[in-house]
Amino acid sequence: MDGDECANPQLLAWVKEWLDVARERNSKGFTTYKHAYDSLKACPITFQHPAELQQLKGFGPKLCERLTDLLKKHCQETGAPMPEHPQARKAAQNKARGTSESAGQEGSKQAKTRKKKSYVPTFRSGAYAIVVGLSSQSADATLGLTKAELIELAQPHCDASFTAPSDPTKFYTAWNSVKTLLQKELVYERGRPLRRYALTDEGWEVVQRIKETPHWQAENPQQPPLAEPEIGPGVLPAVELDQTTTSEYQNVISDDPNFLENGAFPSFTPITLEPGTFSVQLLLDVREVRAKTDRDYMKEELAKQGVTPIMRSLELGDAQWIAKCNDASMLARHGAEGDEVVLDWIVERKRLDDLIGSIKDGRFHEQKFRLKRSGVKKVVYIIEDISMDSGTLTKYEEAVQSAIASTQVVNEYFVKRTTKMDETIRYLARMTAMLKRTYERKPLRVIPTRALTANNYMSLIEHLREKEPSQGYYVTYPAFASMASKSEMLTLRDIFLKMLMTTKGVTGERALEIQKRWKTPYNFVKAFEGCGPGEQGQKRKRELVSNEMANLIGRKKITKPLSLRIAEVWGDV
Amino acid sequence: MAREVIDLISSSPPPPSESPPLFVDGEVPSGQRTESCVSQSHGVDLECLSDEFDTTIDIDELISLPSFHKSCYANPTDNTTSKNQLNHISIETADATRQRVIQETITDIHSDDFDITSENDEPRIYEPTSNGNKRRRVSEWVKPKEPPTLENSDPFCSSQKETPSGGAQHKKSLSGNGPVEILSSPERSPTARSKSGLPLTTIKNPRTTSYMTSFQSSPDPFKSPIPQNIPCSNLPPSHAPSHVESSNPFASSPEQKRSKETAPKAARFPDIEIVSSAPSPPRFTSNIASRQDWDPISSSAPEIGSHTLSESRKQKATAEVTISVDSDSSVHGFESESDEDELPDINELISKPRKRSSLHRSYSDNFASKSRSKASKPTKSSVDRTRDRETKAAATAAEKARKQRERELDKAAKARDRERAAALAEVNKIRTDKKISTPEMLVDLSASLNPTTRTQVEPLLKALDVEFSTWESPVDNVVKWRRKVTSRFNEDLGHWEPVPRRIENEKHVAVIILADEFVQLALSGGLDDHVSKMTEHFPNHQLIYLIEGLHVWMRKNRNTRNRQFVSGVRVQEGAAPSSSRRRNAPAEYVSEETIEDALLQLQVMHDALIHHTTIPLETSQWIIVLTQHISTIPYRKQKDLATMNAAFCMESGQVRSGDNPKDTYIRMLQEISRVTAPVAYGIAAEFGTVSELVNGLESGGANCLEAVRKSANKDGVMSDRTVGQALSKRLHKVFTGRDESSTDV
Repeated sequence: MDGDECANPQLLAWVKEWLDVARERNSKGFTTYKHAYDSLKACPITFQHPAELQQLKGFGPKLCERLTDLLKKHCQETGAPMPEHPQARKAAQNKARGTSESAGQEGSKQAKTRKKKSYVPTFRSGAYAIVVGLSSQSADATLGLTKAELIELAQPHCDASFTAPSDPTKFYTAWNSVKTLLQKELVYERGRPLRRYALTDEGWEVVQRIKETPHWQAENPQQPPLAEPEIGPGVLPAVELDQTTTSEYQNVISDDPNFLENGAFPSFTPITLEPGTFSVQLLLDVREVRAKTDRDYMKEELAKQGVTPIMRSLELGDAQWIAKCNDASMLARHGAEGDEVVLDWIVERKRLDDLIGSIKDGRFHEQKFRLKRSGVKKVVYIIEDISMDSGTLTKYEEAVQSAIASTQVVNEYFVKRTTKMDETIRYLARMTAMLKRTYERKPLRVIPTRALTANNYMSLIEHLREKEPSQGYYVTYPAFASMASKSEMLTLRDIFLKMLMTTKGVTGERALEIQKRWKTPYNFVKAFEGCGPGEQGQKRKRELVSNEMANLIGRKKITKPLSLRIAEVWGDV
Repeated sequence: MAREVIDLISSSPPPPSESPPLFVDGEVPSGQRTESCVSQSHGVDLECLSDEFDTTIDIDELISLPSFHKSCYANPTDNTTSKNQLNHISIETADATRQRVIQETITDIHSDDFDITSENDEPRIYEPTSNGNKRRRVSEWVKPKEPPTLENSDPFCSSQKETPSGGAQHKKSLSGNGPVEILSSPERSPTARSKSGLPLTTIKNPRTTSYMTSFQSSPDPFKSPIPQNIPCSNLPPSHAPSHVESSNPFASSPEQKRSKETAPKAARFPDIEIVSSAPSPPRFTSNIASRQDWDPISSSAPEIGSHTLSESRKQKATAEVTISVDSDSSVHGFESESDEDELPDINELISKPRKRSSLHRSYSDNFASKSRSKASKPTKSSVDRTRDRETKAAATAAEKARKQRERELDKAAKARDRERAAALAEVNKIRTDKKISTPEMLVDLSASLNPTTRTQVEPLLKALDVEFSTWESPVDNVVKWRRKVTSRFNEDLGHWEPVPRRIENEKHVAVIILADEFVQLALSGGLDDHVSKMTEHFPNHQLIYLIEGLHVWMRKNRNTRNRQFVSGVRVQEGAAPSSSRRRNAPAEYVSEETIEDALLQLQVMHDALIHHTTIPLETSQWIIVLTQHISTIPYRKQKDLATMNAAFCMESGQVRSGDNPKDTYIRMLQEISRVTAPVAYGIAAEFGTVSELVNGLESGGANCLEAVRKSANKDGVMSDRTVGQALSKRLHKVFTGRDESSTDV
């Protein structure tokens, strides 16, 4: 290890060799070697044995093995002693310490007893659930269970899913642990073509002991395993399906622009929903699916957690909570429609890859913009991890970090990171429970829909929040949905703004300034035509915008070149 | 473009201007320098030089000067450096009288600028005419620290050595601006004139050119391989300037070059007469003359005369022109106006050289004034000036001085205006970019902060130019932010206004909690207390809980549970209890529910933001990230507010912009709903521009696009499908509608 900047020059040289060969041959392994090379080069730690390299990014067992072989050869050639394998070293160290601690016999005993120790599946793992699930059969039933039956019985005992891989890029599920059980001979399988599974005698013993543990008892209070209530795929949870289309709410809210333009808020008597007359429910977007082939996963999983979501195609967000009146006509009697009131919380769920995608193409901003306009007070961004190519992940790490931070502090949205969809589901379930506790205790005050317009909605909500921060005012779901769909409706002005912004350099602020002066595309084109023909006219056209807006500064300033560019597009210069 | 203007005007003495053409310019000379330097086997200076050129180019400061400055500062004894730029020009031109004339003009211009630059500069400025300059300059430039040796090596100017040394005292004060401007001015005048309202750009050009010339010339005596120099010196007078042009990257077409060249020449002719009185030993005489200006003992009549004459002429010219020039330059950004536009005008200029010359002077004055205001030593220069003039011709000088003063007053007023405008522009810079807004932040780190975190945070903050301090926080591990507020948004005028700097508290406060502490709080129910303590000390703040290591803790917790379970199973099996392990008492399993509920409680009940980190390093990074984003909040909020009354998100990247007018037109059409690319291309094939389309729709009615065929590809091949009635109507409404609030589009 001479003065080279890399801590492991010899190992690095070998990796470099591979890298060069791969490059020459144009081999696909090039990237692999490149990753390995880069990470080894950057690593400041000096390694004794190639096996230690596995802790680095880009090194796996195979590369380490090859390096070990090379090192062996190298050591033989140079006559240097081959370094000890780290595990062997560790063992030796342990031993040494054991003796020095004068507890040598304990150390060796430990090693022995460990060998003797019987296999016990991890608590709430797939293997555990399978064993427990199989134990629900009577001991003398020899037929065994099919995979489908067994999964149905086992799933409640397991944190991971037996049917869905932990994330869409992976292919194994909790079911894979059955192989371990077969190997450990706790379970046996037989039967062709449909395999059936049953516990071996050894398996029964383990189950008996499992059932004696406080952990199992805590999970399954009092009842015999067979009586355990199961919700299997055969018995679909009663999920309310509410496939309303957006158009239904389209015109719930008046969009008369002249309605109360003067800024005075309409006086209204809020409809009060007393505690007990409503229940808090979770609305879930129908498009929130785990995979194309597994559309109902979320709904079913939530149902298993005791939360029955109302499935609906949502105008905004992926989940939100409503207070549903027990008496369906309650709101109607007081001048609001429907029987649902939108609460403060809305959830936007994003898988990490979606997040990166939406940052790249600008949808991220757009979605936050729409959430902001919805007037919902509390937005929760759930960012679900997904195993991604580490290269891509590092590339966008900063962007993701930045997006999360700005969402938190600038938009003041809550960001929740989860590791997989199951965690998201658990979070939603827990959240539902929490909101139930929070909202169902106190009366809800609902703004009658007739007091709302598309124009006063935001300011009215703001105003009420300021005036009575402790008191929540809510709108009905139909009103909310109408508002959300309205926000996507563009006026001629908006289209003109967008058209202006297609010219490079015309930012939103500049476009707004231009639109203030020329209201519509027609006016703008005519203004250019009004500049007249000939050289003079051309000049006037070129400077039309910049002259008109000469007094603006900063971001709104329109410079001559930009004015020229605009004129080129709109005025045929 | 507003930005550039700001930069120019802004108070910092060498304002970096980022105009692309300059860079091109800058690079050429640097390359040449490199060559000459290499010949001297001196690489160090070169690097610096080239660096400067590539990165920032000062409009006001000479482009070439940065290097000179450096050397000067490094070694105050050698004063020649500042001169150098001038010198080379003179050297080159020495052969031809006319060229000499040009020199003179340059010198004159220098004199003009004296007020701008400190008096020390004056002598130096004149010196350039000396023959030795070229050499010296090169050598000094290469090895600034050893002027004597260099001079010795100079064959031409053994006698001149003294001069540089004498001037050396002045070295320090060396104001690069003065000479630079002067140099540029002769060249500038034609170009500047031709340009409409883009004086700054033009200015850059000439300077660059002059520098380049100097560089080229410098290698000449050594017979360096640069070909351009040789032709220059050999060329007949009329062609002499052409080398300058050739080095000028802006003059892309030979024709343009020509015109440019001729124009300046013509302008200088009047000067020639004056100077030509002592043409035979051109360098020497001129040299003396120049010295005389500052040295009263050795005065040579012809030189003085020439001087005064040119000066007065200049003055007049400036007086006349200044106003218009000023207004021009101040009003318009010089930014992107292209040189091409201006070139044609140059030809016109040639026909009226006289006027031009005056113009150029005014320009130089103009700039000089600007630079002066920056340098903030105008009084001194003016005093100098007056004294100078008295020695020469009292009457004219007095008159001049008066005018000068008036002009200066005028200029001072203008400068104030400009400063105000610059300040306004400065605070209106786009600061939604966190890089720009971050230095406004002050981070207060609690004294109780984990030392690891602190040692990691501090350098990171330093790197971002963020100040930080330690404070005794009432609650442990609190990070809070303050902002140096320098601007306030004026709602009525819709822009930011500078306000006296003050420190304001930000409304975010972060508290770092380790997983273990958090679990303890969750279990003991102390979380509410913690939150209320926070809200008590930081009322109306947004709380951010940075929880460190909770994921790891969760994993450990799960392991604990499993270990208990496994041992529970094994106990019944009769295996030895695992309590014999070397670890201390096994950790107690804490229900995840409790933790999750505590987190939810924090979120729902207390409205806190929660972020999880794994290790202290990540925590520190997150403090940085938060700092950056908190810094942008007021600006983002303002921007959001400004764009709030549009019904769509106006963030950049939301609307795709076109590359050229045609492309923009097509993209514009696609912003209308249901207009797809094929439709847009089809319509564009029928109506080539927006105005044609509007007129077509106006005259043809709502259905006139109905039969327009959609295009099959971008090349204009049409498919069989047509745009259709509905879309035609929609387009008609968009392009002929006059009700901006119409939603029927």
